Amino acid sequence: MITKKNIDQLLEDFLKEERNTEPNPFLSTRIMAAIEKKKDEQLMQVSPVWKTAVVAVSLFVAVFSGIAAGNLYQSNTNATDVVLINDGSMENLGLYNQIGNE
Amino acid sequence: MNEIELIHRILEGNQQDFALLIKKYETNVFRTAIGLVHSKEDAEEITQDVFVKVYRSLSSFSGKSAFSTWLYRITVNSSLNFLRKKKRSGFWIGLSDLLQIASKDRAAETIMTEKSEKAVIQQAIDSLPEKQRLAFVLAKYEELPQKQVAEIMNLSEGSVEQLILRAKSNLRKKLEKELEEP
Repeated sequence: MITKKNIDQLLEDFLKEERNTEPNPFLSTRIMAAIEKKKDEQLMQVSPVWKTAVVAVSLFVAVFSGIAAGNLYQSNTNATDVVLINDGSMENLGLYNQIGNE
Repeated sequence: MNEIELIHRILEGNQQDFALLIKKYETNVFRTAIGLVHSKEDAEEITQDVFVKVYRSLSSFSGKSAFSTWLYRITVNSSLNFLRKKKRSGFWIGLSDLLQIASKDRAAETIMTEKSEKAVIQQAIDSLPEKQRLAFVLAKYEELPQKQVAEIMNLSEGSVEQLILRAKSNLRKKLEKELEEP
């Protein structure tokens, strides 16, 4: 039969055992490392306002540099080139026209 | 160097001084946490969480109460939050425990009986109403004077005394009922 004394003793033993549990000896090192990690994460964190601003500016720069690049392009074609790509000029059609002059 | 000077030095950026503060209080925080969660690993996790919170909010410590009182409050709140989170995933933990017990052979029966006795005591402490449990843990695990327990819990000394008495009486009743031989 469990008596009141037994229960008190059981409870006291349980409390004593839990009270005497020692934490890991490297717990403080682990805590300091966790604090360092959190600090690094905070440094790396960028405010959402800045994130939006950077995306908007990047988009603006991309669109306008595209337009500017398009406007910079100038065609190099001139009259001589036109003659050069003319089939009639590339092949001497006069050779075929000499049939009647043989 | 006293505690206030130490806190000032930490706030000035001497991070290594925070290690001194951890060394001084880690056992107190760990013991309070283990009294509420009954697991070494969980208590270590809570201790880590508490000190990270303390480091981040040290500037908000006004010094109106003792630093240890402030620290105990953070510890108690973190432990209770941890238990609430754990309760949400309790179903899966319970299931894994059940599977573990089922896989044990009969040779482990003695260990199980011993463990079940501890489990009954643990369960009895956990089933106490929250305020009674907090007062009991702070007074019995940390052996804090009733005055400090009252400060931590924002109650009068008389209320704390009553809570501890009721906690002890409830525990005795529960344990008598649970541990009584059939």
